[in-house]
Amino acid sequence: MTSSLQRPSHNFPLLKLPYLAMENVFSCMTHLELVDISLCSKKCKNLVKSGRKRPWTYMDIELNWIQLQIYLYDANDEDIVSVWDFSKRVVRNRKSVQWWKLNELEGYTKKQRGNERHYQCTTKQPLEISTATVISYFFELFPDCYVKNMTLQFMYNDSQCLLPVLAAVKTVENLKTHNYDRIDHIKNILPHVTITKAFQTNYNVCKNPLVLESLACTEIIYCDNARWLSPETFMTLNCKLVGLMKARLTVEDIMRYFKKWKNSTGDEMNRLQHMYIISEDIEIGQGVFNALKELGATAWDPVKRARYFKYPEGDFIDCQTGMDIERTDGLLASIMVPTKKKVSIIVWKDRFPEQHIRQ
Amino acid sequence: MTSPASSSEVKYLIESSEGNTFDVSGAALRQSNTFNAMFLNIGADGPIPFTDYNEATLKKVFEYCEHSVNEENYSGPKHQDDLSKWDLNFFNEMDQKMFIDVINASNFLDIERLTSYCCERIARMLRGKNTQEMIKVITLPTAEELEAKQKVEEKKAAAAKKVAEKAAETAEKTETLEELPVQQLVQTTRNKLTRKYLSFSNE
Repeated sequence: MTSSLQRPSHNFPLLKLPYLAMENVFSCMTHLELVDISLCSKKCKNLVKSGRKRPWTYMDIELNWIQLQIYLYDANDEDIVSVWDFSKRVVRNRKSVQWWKLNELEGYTKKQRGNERHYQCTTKQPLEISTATVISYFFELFPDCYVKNMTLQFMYNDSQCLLPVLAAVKTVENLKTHNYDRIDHIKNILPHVTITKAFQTNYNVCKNPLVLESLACTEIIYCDNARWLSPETFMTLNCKLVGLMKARLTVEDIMRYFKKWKNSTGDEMNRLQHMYIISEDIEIGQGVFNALKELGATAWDPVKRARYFKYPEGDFIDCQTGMDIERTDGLLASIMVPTKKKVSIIVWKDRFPEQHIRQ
Repeated sequence: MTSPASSSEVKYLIESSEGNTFDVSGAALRQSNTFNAMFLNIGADGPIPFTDYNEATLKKVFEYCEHSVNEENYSGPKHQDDLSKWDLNFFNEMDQKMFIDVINASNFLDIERLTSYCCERIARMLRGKNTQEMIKVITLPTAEELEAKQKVEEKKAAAAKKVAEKAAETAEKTETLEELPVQQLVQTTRNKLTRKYLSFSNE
């Protein structure tokens, strides 16, 4: 008997199988195939949603003035990716493309390149609404899905437009914003999204400081214009690497932070490894240097720590001029004032790291 | 014939939907979690009835079980490319109807290895296809077909509604026609009784 199963165009009544068998079929499929099959019908979507074994996925979201795209990756195999584009809405020949519908959205599938599949959304409605719909759809299909990287480069005059997207996202691992010539846009972002790892912002202009309950990043905070950062929010920072330029913080704010670090125990401030603050207006460096006595700071003692601090990336920083403060639990930090308007603090998790070759 | 012993020598009798019985080794049968849960410890007293499935399907399923008795313990689905020649022949010999029956039986008998190979095979049919192509493969009605179906259903519903309305109207008319003599009858009876009562009280 010749197998009819081998024929490529063969049909198979999948939905007539017992539920467990269907679930088993879905568990053999990649997230690309699961997305496609979920778009076939409501029943298919519900079956994908109810599956117990679904691939682990994450999203990258890019919004800039040229394009608005979502990338859905398989967390175990980043080569498998579906790319959703919301920027081009015109189709010249409707018959030549394969159409899909997702809730009230519609679009077409472009040809697949390797493990990369492209979807073009053509619905004529605000882009951020379409984007939010697709993001919510992915969260529905893959409950373990998370947003890894989100890049926002503003194309709108009114960043309020981003609210539907941020409402759909809620939590993101890494957020980058670039706000060219825009003012106060950060106020429409930070209160609406929780950043768990890294936050980087460029060209961000903010008239008034922003008071957040906390800025929950654990890895990196880098702001080339940190005027938005209020002293209240600054006090909540517990992040590995922090770089704040053009900060509006006063000497008192910074000293209060250092004191908090010195008096803290446990995990409250434990992540901090290196922080630098540069002020545009105030000579914070000079002010902090004058107030270091309050903290009981002492000059470098080669017995207590090495001279060079080693960054996680392998770079070294000379801490010979650093003034040291020590916590009750034995954790040591060096406060340095390289210029009148710059202050930095380095925490020695390892007091004698492998040293710089020049030493 | 049947016993709860664990030796692979032990044979069990299986009964199919046609009422036919055939032998299966204990070792092959123990690949079925359903069998293990139901009969392994207590034993079966007579043929084991798997009467939802026909003989050909059951024989095919247990042919697979007999073949994989000596294979290592199952540890997740194999990639189709890793299947042996025997496995490939086994699947290629089946037509679609048999394939569906085998999945159903394997699913009921909870034979993990066979079910997952079958399912992996179906998933493979969908590999590299877009939504429209998938709709065709899994034989779902297209949007146009659904629309046409909905229109037909709407027409049917409208026609049924009309018929129901007409029937209600007719029933109403009949009721009024039938009601008149009944009411008259009731009134006449009442009158008669009243008269009787009056004559009785006068007496």
